[in-house]
Amino acid sequence: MEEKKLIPASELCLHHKVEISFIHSLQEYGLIEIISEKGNEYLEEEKLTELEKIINLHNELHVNIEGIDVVLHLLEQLEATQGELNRLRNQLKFYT
Amino acid sequence: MEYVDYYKILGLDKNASTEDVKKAYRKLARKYHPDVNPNNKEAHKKFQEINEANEVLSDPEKRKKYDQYGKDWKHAEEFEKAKHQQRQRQYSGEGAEFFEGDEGDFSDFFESLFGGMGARSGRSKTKFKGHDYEAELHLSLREAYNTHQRTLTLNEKNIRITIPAGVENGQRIRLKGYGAPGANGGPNGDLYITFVIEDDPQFKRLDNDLYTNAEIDLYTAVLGGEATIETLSGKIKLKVPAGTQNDAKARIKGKGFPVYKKDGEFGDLYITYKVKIPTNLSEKEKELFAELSKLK
Repeated sequence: MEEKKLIPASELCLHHKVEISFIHSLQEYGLIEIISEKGNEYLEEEKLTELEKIINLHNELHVNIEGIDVVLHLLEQLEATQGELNRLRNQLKFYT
Repeated sequence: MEYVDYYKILGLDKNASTEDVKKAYRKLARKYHPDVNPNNKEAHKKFQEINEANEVLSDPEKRKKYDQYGKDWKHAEEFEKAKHQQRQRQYSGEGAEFFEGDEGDFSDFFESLFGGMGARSGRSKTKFKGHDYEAELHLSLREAYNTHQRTLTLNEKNIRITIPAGVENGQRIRLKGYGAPGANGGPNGDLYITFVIEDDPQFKRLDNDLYTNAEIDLYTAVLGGEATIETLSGKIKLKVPAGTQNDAKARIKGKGFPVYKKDGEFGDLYITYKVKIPTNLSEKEKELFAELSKLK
């Protein structure tokens, strides 16, 4: 099994100038998962893109956590729709 | 280099207050922010424009300089001379086109006016994880048929990638860690490649099936016989049944396109027979056809 790479939550908070309480709130809302090891808190490197997206939505667009949850769901749907659109475009190309 | 109208970009007039600028920027940023517009190059470009417009118009000093510059635009050759060399990023690779996945540089116009100043406020320029890169890779249908390797050059670094057989037009793959370096010990960004499969003059693809036409002569169509058919894995001989009509179809199982990441699995090949009617008949042939027609 591939070993998960972990990033200390404190480093990420320092870099993005967010409070650790914000990261904790995201966990409470089920948006991220914090991994605790020997008293320290870590985040999975694999999930960083998603987490930085959340931080951007919060810091730059001033979206609250409930709003972020909605945006992420809609983005998931958008991704699925884009995949379907691509498949249909390829089919359409076949018939034209 | 074209003059950039920052007021127009934010939908404001020249008398707009700082508060108006802020409001207009926030509204447009919510609409075009890259994080809410995944894989949308147009939106990313638009976001860069509004970001740049906000950078200038929300800063009184920059705004003053910009307003003056706009007035003198027709005599702006001296600014042209001061134009900074664009930061070079070397991307190459056969059939590959690269672009920044996230925030890019400021426009030449901005650079010539304000130099290489980074973002003062608003959009933070440094992620912990490095920025992602996006690339488009053009392949012929025949190239997409076989698993093969390609070397792409990104920022003077060669990246050898294996393209699995059966990739689809518009399919996007992620190469972990091949994006821009992370900040403060953060991991590298990723490289996303979107495949663009070019049309083939002979074969059409629908999912994993291939479609092609095969010409057969009239005599084979009427009496039956053999036809040599070209497939993407070589020529094959096919039995043509007697009485085959024009546009009749035949399916050859397993001679279509490889199924992505399913080794040894293939779609089917559909052949449409095109019966070739003989022309320039000799007298003898005409006679024989006339005789045949009398038999009916």
